[in-house]
Amino acid sequence: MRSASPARLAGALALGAWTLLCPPVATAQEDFFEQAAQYFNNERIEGVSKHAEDPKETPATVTILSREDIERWGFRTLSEVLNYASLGNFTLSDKRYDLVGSRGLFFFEDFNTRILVMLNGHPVNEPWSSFGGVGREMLVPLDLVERIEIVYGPSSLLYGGYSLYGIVNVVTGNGASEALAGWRVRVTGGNQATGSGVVSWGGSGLTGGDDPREWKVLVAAGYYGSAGEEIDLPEEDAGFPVRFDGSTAWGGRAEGVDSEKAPFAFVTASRGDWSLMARTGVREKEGAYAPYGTVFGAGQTQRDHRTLLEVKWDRRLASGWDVAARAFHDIYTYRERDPYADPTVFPPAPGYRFALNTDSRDTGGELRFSRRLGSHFVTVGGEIRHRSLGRDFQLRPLVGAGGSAVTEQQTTGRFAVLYAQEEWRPTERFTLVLGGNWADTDPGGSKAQPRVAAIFKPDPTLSLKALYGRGFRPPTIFEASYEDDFETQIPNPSLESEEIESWELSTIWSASPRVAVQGYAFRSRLDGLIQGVEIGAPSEVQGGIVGRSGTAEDLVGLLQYQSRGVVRSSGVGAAMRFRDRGTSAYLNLAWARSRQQVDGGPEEKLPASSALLGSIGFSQRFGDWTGSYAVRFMGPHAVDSARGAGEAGKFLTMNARVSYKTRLVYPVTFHLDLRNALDEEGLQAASYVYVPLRLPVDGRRVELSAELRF
Amino acid sequence: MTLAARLLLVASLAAPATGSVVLKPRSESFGLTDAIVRALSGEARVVELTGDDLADSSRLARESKGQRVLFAVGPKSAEVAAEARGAAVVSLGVANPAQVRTPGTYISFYPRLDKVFEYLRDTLKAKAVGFVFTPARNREIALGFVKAGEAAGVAVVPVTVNSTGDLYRSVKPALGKVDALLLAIGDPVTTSRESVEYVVEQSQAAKKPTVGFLEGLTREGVTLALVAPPAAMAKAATEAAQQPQTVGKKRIEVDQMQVVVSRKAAEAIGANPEALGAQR
Repeated sequence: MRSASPARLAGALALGAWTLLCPPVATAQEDFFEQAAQYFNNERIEGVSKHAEDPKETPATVTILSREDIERWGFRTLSEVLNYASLGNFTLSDKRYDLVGSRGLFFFEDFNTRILVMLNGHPVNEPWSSFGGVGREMLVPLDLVERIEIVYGPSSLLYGGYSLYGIVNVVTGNGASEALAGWRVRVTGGNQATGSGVVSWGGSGLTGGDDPREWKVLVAAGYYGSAGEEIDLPEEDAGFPVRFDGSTAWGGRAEGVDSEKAPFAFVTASRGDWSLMARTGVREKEGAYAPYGTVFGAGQTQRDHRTLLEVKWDRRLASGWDVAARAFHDIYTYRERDPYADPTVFPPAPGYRFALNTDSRDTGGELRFSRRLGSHFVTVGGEIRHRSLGRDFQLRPLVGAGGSAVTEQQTTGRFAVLYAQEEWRPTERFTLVLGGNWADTDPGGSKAQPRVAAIFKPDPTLSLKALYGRGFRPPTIFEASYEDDFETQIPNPSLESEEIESWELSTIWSASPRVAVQGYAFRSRLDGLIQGVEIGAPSEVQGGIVGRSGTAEDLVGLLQYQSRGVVRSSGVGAAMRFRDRGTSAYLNLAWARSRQQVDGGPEEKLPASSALLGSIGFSQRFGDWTGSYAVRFMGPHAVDSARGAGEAGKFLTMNARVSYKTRLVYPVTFHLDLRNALDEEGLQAASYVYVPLRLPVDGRRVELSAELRF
Repeated sequence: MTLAARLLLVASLAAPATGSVVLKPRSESFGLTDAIVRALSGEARVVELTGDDLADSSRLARESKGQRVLFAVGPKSAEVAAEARGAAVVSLGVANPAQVRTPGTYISFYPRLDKVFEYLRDTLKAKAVGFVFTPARNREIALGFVKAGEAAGVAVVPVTVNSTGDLYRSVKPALGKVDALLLAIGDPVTTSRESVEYVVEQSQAAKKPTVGFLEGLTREGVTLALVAPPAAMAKAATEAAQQPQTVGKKRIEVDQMQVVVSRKAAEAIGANPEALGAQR
């Protein structure tokens, strides 16, 4: 392991200081296009209050990345954005998924269930385990994105629950977006047999004679494929067979076990008050590190297929009320194939595959009213969704036909929320936001959440916010109802929601047209933490579950999700942005401390959650050429204390991009990207579904892209 | 904004309302706010817009009590000003008033079009000009240019651009048919660096001038800009405030027109900057 030595750390800090303090290369002459962009399009956020507002006015701490930022730094996935440009969010990648943590909170195997991930304001977290993918599973390539809104803390008042860490709203462009109008093609090739392409067409216009209405259409489709890395990990004894020859030696070299394939299609269209969004896409990924005790190097896979359709109607009524309505139907299917080495199940086959399939549907709608009344702005509304889920699993021999009986399970869920928010601006310098909601979920029961925000603006360039909010996360259908014939896990029908309470001070200061500074300090308390518990005694079983014997005696040793534990967190963060003609730079630093306490026991550090996170970026344009780099630092964090002691983390990774704009009849931009350019071999804590305590970060990847607009 | 300007703004907000309210966009581009404050002889009470519609409309609801007229400066401020009920709106700096629903008086960002075409015909000796625009943004403005061109005996060739591809396909052929290219205000074509660079490059290759309507474009290679002077727009706005429009929309173009020439760009197409109107 090449960890971040003091010398490397000092070097990175020096680089960052130079980035932010050196005089810009370009002159400070007024830039017409930047002025025009400021004049005609101001920075906005919509994800917090469901209407466009200035980041200084919104009742939350937020980070906004524009299309230009995304292109400048070469971000390809939302996970990269969170790691390299957010103020306290991060992901740990285990080659299945990018799993999100935020401001000191991270829980193994939670599948991003505590962060609300949205596409154009539409939550993409699926019903089965509320998984919100930040890789290529559920969203669209960032080529199509206009901006990304990152909201920190429990901020989902108008969405119901699910937002303990915050919200990430990915806002796509439309047919009238300058960068997406007309045809656009991007092709990429790189090492590890990586290839991808995105084709899009955007159009807009006016229809109607006397009262013309604008229409906009954006259609896009694409494919991403990669063979992935060649794995070479230290061998260790798993204690159980992880090879088909019965060997318990986990690790070593493995090729062709890290592939990823991800085709997608996306449409957004609007005319007048109506708009439509549809997305479908599949992502199939091999779990190269062999989770769940599967055979190392045998191609464990997961496949996520996410389809959504949403229709919206948004209109201002003559009475002064704005009314918005939407209806949606979401489909999510999941397929997992886990190879196990056990010749006793289907002899003479050396092992078998555990095949899991789920098929879930979310159907629902939302109705929202809002109105300005002098210095008041009131929003009231509600959303309801019906969730249905089918699941089956089977054991199949590795070779030949047959297999165990298919075990099927059908279940339903419900989610309903009523919300109201008042934004009152009694004076020039003061805004008060009061809100509340009541949500009823199955599983989980009902919950009410308040929000209070006092925003003081002593100067138009400065905003000081005092924020209080509560958020909750209902148990997922997986946590409450999953059982595999009582082989390893039992359900818990009495499982209740987690709840978080947060106090926060936050500020944004636009120190000059070129420099913006941001900071926050927060404390939070998460109660009723839902976590998997190994049943130690029959009395520990919850929800009245009994085994085949009719008692709870035979459930000892099985896994059940239970509400256990409190997590207290506190932290601070600061960010700085600099932009001048041709020069851009940023710095993010976040520190957070979290302690978990279970049943009045001693407080413990949360594993895999670094107290210190940092990122720096610098970009410079020289005529048709642009060079940029982004560096992130992940501080040290504890490994899974239930399995061992020690630390992981404390590494730096850097992405670099060189872009060249030219013309081949039409404008073409070439990008050379180096991801993890220094090939840092940083280690991050591994979840309990893996044999080792630590897993390496992804290695260096080189990609060359060409982007043509015509 | 400088510290002094900020202090001035804070002081002005603390003062009692004695005159009209001027809405000031956060960006200080185009100098309209300063001009109108001067035209109002210091009676103006400046309310700076943040760009947040709700915050801005709440602020106006408070600050504009008792005001008869609001001067709304900036592309979106007219809509916000409409929230201050009871006051008439005189709006400046809107690229295409036809696409704003707020009733009121709109002081055009463009100079009087007959003066524009007089200049194009008499100084540039143009018989045909191309008007580069995005239909969804500037369809109504383009129609106005076509009509004004007909009246002045100058043919206006619409060069419609819906995408980067359209721009690359349409500008070069259009340059073969016209004597100059005109660029619409606030259009995606004129707010994109790459698009303006392309138009300038093609025009220079064809030795044809490009004409914008914002002074800043001449720093980006556009040959000249025909600008409605901010002081004249401010004067027109204060005059319009005497008889404010409360129903429907009224559009006023200012009489004065300032010609701003980029010497470098003019010389690049072999033109004499002075002959185009440049001051020595």
